[in-house]
Amino acid sequence: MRKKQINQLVLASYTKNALDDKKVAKIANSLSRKDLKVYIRGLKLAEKKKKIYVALPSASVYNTSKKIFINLFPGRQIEIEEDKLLMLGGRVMADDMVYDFSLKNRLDDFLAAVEQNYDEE
Amino acid sequence: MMKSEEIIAKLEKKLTKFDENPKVANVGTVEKVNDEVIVASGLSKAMMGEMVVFQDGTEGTILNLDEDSVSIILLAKSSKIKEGDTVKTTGKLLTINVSDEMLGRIINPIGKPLDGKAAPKKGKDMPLEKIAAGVVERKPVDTPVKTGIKAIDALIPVGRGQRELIIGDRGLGKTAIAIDTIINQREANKGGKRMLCVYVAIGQKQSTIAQVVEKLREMDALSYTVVVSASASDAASLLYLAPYAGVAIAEYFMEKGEDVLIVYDDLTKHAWAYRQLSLVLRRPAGREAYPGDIFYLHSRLLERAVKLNEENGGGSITALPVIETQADDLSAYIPTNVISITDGQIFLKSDLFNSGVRPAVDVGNSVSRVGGSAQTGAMKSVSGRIKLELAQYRELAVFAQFGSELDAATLQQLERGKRLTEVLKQPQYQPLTESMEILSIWAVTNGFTDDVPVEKIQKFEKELHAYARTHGKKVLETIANGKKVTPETAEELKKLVTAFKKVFS
Repeated sequence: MRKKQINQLVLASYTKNALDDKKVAKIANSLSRKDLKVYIRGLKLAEKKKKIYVALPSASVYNTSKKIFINLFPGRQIEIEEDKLLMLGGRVMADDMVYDFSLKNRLDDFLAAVEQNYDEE
Repeated sequence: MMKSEEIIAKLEKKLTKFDENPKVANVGTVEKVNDEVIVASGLSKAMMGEMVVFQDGTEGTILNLDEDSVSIILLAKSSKIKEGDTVKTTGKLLTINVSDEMLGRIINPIGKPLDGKAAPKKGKDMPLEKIAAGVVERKPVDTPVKTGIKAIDALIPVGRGQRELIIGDRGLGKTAIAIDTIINQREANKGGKRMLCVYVAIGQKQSTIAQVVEKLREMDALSYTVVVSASASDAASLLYLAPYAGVAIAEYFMEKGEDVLIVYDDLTKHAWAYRQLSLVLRRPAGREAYPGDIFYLHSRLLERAVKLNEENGGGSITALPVIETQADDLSAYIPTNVISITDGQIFLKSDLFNSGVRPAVDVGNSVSRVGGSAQTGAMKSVSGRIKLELAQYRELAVFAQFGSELDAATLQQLERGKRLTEVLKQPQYQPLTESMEILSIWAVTNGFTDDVPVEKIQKFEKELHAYARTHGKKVLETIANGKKVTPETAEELKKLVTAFKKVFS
């Protein structure tokens, strides 16, 4: 089976924007082992595209932040996790793009700039 | 060393440049680990040739962009990378950091030192892949590269900015010619504009590379040479990148107006490494299983050899690529490709090598397409005759094999040819100055060795050089200035050789 056809099957596995277990079972039974692997990978990718992962340094700002992200990414599921190493700011991961506006990232950048411009003595 | 205030001021300046926008990174997930090639999904914004970093810090570069995955080659060995690991783009194309301190160092293709010394000082980032200089920036080849090898300087001259291929079977002295040329720059640099050297070892044994480095050190040639080493035990990706790293280093010096000689030893193994990567990347295989872009692989590399005009600094890169043939077969895929890309070839033949002609240059099959215009007037005036006489000798030698009776003139030409062949022999690591080369060739082509037995020609030459150093300084200086040999100079040369013959036993 061609990759395009499997991708169409992935899209067909959804009912009202949610994965339909009956449809999935039906499709999975008709696929070969090789195609099933591609189908699973396609499902994982589709699920990943539906979600936005947000990392924040403190749990106290969860609720206020969630609203902001729901407005920013309408129709997408927001998953918030705590990452104390970020110190301040946050990190958003949408598909394969990562938007990092944390203090940790700033400090890492600063360190990289120092290492790049000055030789080890 | 910088003062503390200066360092802080520089950092503060850097701090003001940090913008408020978030850093955007493109990330992917490792799907497959195939030998040295990693397939990753995601990375939808990745560029061809962009550097990527894996979560364990290993660096790689993108070689294939597919519909929903990218193929990455690793720049260092890593056994830690596994399925599911994250990888992110850096937004930078592959570069090598080059500084003046690289001279005399042995580095790998990504600039890491291999000689046990500290890393060279940070300099300029030079891109490994770069579009070669255009027609407007170039100038015709007009300055010679003195190899110090008589057979090459006289018959197949190489000019600065030229690409001259060294081709032949294994063990015939291809590397020896390249190394001799590097060693000879020590003497050549004393007179005119200096020439820096880059030696790129691709797929060679570590022991062979160590020998070459030791020889360069022993001959005091390492001080103006950079050795880029990607040995047989290194990853194929490093072998593939080595010549590009070498030429990037050469370009750094060329941009400063320097003349650079770069030796790619050898491009056959480079093609093998690229074939290996291409097969793992599942690119369609063509002739001899090489991928379709194997010609472009070498043409884009060798096109970077250039002689820039004065407005662009006047620097140059001379390339001496080496190709290994199988059973003297010049018509194989890679040899024909590289022959058609370069401006000539020095063909070494096993028959000649086995019959004692060393360097085993096959003058009939070797050619220099642009080097003639770079030859000095003095060398040109003596080498014109040698070409003709050698060609005539080769024709006559074939007939002489039948043992038919030959007239006196033919016999004399045969004898002269034997002496010419003899005088073109030269031991390894003993490059000669141009004036000595001219003296030897002039003496033979003008019949001064006709009465010297063939087996004594080399002794004759050696003693003539020693005699000329003490008794013919003036005439040697005259021919060393590069001007055409005038009747007056010829007369002086005649006096010198005649005087020497009286003392030669």
